[in-house]
Amino acid sequence: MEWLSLLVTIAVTVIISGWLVSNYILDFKRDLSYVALHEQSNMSTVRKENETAHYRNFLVPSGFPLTAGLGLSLGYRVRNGNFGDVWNAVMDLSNANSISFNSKSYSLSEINGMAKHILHSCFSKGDTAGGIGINVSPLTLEGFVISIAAMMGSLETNRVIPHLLASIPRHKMDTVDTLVLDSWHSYKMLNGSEHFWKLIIVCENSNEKAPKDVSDNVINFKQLIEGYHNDSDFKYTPPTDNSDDLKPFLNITSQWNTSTAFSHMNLVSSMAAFIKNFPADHSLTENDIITTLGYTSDVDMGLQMWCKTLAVLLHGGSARFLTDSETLSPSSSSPSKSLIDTLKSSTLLLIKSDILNKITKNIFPSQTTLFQSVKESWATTLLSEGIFTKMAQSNSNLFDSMRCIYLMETLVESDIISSFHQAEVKIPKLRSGQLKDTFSTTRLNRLRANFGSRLVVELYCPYIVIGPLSQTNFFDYRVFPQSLDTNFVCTGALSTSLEGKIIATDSNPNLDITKRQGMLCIRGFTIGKPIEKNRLENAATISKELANGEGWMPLVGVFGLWGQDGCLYLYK
Amino acid sequence: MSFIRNMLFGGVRTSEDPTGINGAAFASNNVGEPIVEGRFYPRTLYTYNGHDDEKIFIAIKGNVYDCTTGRQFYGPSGPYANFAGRDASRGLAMNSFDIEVIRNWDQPIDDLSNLTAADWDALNEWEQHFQGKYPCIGTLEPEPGIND
Repeated sequence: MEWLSLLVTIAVTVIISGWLVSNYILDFKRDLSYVALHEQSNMSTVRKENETAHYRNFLVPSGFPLTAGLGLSLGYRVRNGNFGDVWNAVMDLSNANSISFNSKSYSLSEINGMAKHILHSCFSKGDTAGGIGINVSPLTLEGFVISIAAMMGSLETNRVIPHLLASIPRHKMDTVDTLVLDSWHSYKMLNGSEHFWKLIIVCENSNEKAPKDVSDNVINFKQLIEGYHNDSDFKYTPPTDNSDDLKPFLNITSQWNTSTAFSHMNLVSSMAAFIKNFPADHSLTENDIITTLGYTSDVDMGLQMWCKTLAVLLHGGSARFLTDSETLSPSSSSPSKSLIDTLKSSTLLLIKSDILNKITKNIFPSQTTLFQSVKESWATTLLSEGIFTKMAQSNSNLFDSMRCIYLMETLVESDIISSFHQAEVKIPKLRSGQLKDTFSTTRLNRLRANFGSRLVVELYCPYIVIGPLSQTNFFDYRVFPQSLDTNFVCTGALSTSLEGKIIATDSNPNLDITKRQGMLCIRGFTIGKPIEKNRLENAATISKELANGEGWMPLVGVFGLWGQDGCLYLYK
Repeated sequence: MSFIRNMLFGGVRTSEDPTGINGAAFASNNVGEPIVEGRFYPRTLYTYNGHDDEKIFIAIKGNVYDCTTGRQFYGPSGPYANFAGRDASRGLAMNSFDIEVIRNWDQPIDDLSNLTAADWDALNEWEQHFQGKYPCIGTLEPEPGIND
């Protein structure tokens, strides 16, 4: 009978230790308790009949103001701040940090020197002071420096403003008199419209491909920065009336030819919301390096990357941009050297879902050793319990420094939202495909395990809102039931600069407002303003007709629901 | 036990479904449903006094404001606790927190007819303060048969 008592003893020990582990030890090891994960938003206590309650991030309770800026002091007052304050602090802190473009690194004093040279020798001169139409991606050196110069100019004079363009304008633009093009090939596409512009800057330094009969008002980037000096000094003194904070910061024209204006307050609000979202002990430091992977043709990325890049630089960190085609669309099955080198030292990664989808296939081999598979399985089990681990990191030590990946999920039909077409306010029916290249929660956890890094899913509304609409919690590694994963994408709680509500629509009677389902509306400090007069008027009308006014912007055609955990779930 | 089983056989813990789409209850959620904006009678308004219900609603000049966030003022044992769940117009106008200036739910709604010009000024100022600070969530109307 001895063996029986032994068996019983073992069984009892296993059961008790299992119970202890699941009920006590795991609770101590979790990054965030389930209670916190299940209450990620504050909601108002009342709602209108055809709407849900107002939802806000847990960090900004009702009755407290939304995040509207950096909270700088001006004497005894608090001000929101603007690009001038940010760049002033960035240059004060600049030391060993740098910005690199496709592995070519530049110190901040070089970038600042070039930008100041461009501003003073060209942009703020009387004859060419006006909007700077930029048809070159700010993810490249030329685009970045010219944008910074124009942003500096936007505070000095009301006329200079960077205007990102998705395509070469076919008509003369009243607010733009300098055009920046990426290549001589684009220049040739001007097709006789050179005289529309006072100055044309071509960012291709070799003149080999230049046509013979180049117009007089054309210079290349090399000529533009000729004679610049490294300069680590940028001083900005705010006016006492805070008027600079509301000045225009950047304009953007989408491929659907709709233009939106963003103010300095929009920028600092989205920067502050980003900074605020880091949990204690994980905040930004001077050791952070943010890498942005994006296509140069992606104009919206040229808008969205500013808040994160400037926030990291503001803490004394560095920024990297990778745009080369070998990295983004690799021809071979192995990842490019520049990608590996860049990711090796990066701590943060900003990437769109389609690119992440492509590069992970190359980085992580599909066939792994048995040992690696077991480690991956353990890591995903622990993650699903809410415990972060680096044990299953692939390509040992390659991603050692990586601490968070920002996965950008972008609304596909943002042209419908940004058109504000009042005459056709016919709200579309819910159909699949609101987002493309979405990831299941199981796959997200496998990526967290393989990278050995946190991963935050962010929802973006291109061209209209700067920074994310919402993002998942830094510590949220929940795995949802398959029925949820196949129908919804969890995009987390709203940004602290925005608040949201969901409204019932006539065209989708099957979405039940009492179950918090319907069309999304937002209001807050990171939403841009339509430039065209008719779009601006239509936006106001739509807001009033669909969302009861009060500053709410309906995102026409964006359908989702509020989860009982306070997160926004979009229909796939 | 499921954790050990998952570690041994490669499973994951599946979280609760917060969408409620499949009818699954969300155990962790104990937050009450939001109230639909609309018409209140003195009788229905009185429930929201911070004691019987956690929410605090106060009526001023026929409009009902949600003052839940001002619990330290209007909540039980707060300085203005008498106003919670009632029509506070006369009290605010006369700058009095006494129970005498507030009517019970079964009395007719105060028509404020005998207020002086100074009282009206004070009341309008208070109204502006409430409009700026708290969301207006409906109107206060007499209940037929009770507040006639």
